[in-house]
Amino acid sequence: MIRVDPRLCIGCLSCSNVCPRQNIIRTQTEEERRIRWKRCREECDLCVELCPAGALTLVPIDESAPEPEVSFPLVGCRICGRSYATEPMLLRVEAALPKSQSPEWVRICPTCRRTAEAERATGDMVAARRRRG
Amino acid sequence: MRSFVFPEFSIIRDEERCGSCRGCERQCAFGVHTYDPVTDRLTSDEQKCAGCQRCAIFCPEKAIVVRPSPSFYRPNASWSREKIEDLKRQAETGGVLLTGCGSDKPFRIYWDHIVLNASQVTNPSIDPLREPMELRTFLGRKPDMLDIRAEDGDVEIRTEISPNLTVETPILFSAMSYGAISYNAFRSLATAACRSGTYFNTGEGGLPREMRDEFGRCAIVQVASGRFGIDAEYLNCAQAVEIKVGQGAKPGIGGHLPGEKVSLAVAETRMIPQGTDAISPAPHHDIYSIEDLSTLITALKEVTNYEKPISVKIAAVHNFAAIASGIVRAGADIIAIDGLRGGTGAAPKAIRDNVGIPTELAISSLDRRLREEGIRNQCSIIAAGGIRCSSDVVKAIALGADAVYIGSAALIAMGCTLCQKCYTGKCNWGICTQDPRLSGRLNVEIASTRLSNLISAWSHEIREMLGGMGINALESLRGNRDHLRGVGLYEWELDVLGIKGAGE
Amino acid sequence: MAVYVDIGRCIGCRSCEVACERVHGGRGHVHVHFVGDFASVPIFCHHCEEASCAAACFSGALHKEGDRTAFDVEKCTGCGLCNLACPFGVVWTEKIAHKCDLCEGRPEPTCVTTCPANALSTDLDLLSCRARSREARAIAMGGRR
Repeated sequence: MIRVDPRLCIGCLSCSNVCPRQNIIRTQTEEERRIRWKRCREECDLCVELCPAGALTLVPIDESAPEPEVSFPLVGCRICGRSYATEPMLLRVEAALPKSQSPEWVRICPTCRRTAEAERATGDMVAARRRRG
Repeated sequence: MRSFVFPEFSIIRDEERCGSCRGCERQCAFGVHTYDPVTDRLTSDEQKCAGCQRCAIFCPEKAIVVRPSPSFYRPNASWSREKIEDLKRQAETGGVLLTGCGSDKPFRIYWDHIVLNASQVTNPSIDPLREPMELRTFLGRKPDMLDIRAEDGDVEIRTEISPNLTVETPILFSAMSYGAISYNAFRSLATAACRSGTYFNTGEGGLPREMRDEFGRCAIVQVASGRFGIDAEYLNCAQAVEIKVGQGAKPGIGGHLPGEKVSLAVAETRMIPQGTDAISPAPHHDIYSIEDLSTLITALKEVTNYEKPISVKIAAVHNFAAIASGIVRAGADIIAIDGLRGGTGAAPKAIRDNVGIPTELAISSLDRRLREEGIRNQCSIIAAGGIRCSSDVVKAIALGADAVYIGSAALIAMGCTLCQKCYTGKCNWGICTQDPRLSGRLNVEIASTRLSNLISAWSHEIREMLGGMGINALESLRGNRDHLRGVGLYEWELDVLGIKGAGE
Repeated sequence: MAVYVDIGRCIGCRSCEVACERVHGGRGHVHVHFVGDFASVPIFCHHCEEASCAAACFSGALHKEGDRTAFDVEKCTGCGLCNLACPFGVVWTEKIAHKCDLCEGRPEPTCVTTCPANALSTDLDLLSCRARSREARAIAMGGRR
């Protein structure tokens, strides 16, 4: 079965995506994301291998141990307020991007980023067309 | 160049069962399976398949079957498919064909032609579950004569006893170096050896510093022609030192650990720069005679303060018994002989499949030679190469060995499927690789449990067989060829083995 | 190489979206945005020189390959970090990452060949040349932008 280090887990669902047996259960509401690792008898190790945070370890099965579970509150977009990611994920992305880019967009949800980009790209033209009426 | 070789395996995916979970794709380091996101299906490139069965075993829907490809060249008794394909591969690459594991050629396996004895009526058999059964074995030089004084019930041994290794069961893990196998595999062997009261052999790649305190008590350290990772601390942390002269899979050949496998940790342990090829020369360049070997043995004994037995490992080749006799006289306390079917991480196929003699014959002729010369007590014999089950161990001991080394058997316990692709460094089972992702697949805790389970299972079976023969200590079986009979063997084979035919 | 948009020519027909979805098995990588009633613009992967998605990708699935940001489906685990890193919100994650691959294997990206208004091209010079001549014409005809 899998042991989880909740301090390292960033709640990205990589493990759940790669699990061939769907033994890693995710439940998500507007406020929080929960991930639960079922007591798994496989020794396939894929989730451990492909965890970006190195938070998982394969350990021998222990029937008495509780099933590991983590939950993360979801962070809302600065513009629309809709929740879109967990805080550790955003911190990780911010750390990965070069400081020179001052990645403020990370705190905005991808949908709003697209809208912002569309508005920025068409700004001049829209203004001109408005003037023309 | 376009390859004219068929894929060795055909991969059959049951499309109805396959849930496109991509497990197979992620399990395979050879890149056989590919996911097509457009059709949401998986496809396989059979040309790359090594037949290691990792995908088939871990497919949650059991949708994959990997089996030998049914395609064939026109049948020809002289030109087998393997011969044709090897030839084609060489025509394409111009190089030496490499392979891993032990020889898979159909040489006669003498274990399968030897049967064991059991007691009936006149010599009662023993039930090992009710009565004590001694498997403990001491490996090393035994004195010619014991000078014992008994005074007032106290027994005093006056003869100086040479250092001996104490093993709780006559099964040791043979030399597999860190570098050839992954850190996790290496550590699993060490953990299991300590847990089972036996020893693991570090191979020629040194012993990582952080493992010395914990696992030194169950380690045999090796000194090979490359002399990697050797210093006084390394020699002294273990319980015995082994000089490797030859290896059963490739007698007369050195070793070559490619630079890609020399990671920082491997480099530190081997004391070589990171990323350089670790090349072990074919001979020891300071050993050209028995006298030279004697010098090295004495040097090692000096370093270890005469407290540790020195073993010499040689490959079983045509005239090896005479050489082994010289080795004993040179001061070796243990002789390890590695037979034709001994394994390897990488060896030229031509050498692996054609050089050496079978272990069974080697044990017997070595034991006989040393007895004839009256020096059998001066050394212990460890037999290696092709030990597959507990009865092989019993037969080896009855033929004259003191203990056996298991290599392939231990790897199989950890997951190895003998796909013979060790030399690629892409072992999907995380055993023979230095890729951190792949080696992480082998969990030390679980793998060492499998290994110690194996040792305990074999020990139980050995006790059962001994009990059946009416023997209550392994010592009584050593060299006891009366308990063996040959089935389907020629006269000369029976002579070499020193056993009678069945019914005689 | 990337797909460039001549915003002035976009008529908001969303043909590019449809074409992209058809080629990529129902998962498109283009999104046409409307700005009020005045303009529409398809939002694409820019194949950024310093690609944020590649910087955030831990498995090496997203990487720079020449001047395009390539995606290796074999390595993707669907963690979604790329989705959060993209400044333009054009990397989607749904089991695995989805982003513009410039229709690998085809001579031209399908959106470019499909666009009925000729608003898309992989040739930046062509588009900027067209836009400049249009401006020049407008000034010449009306004196006003």
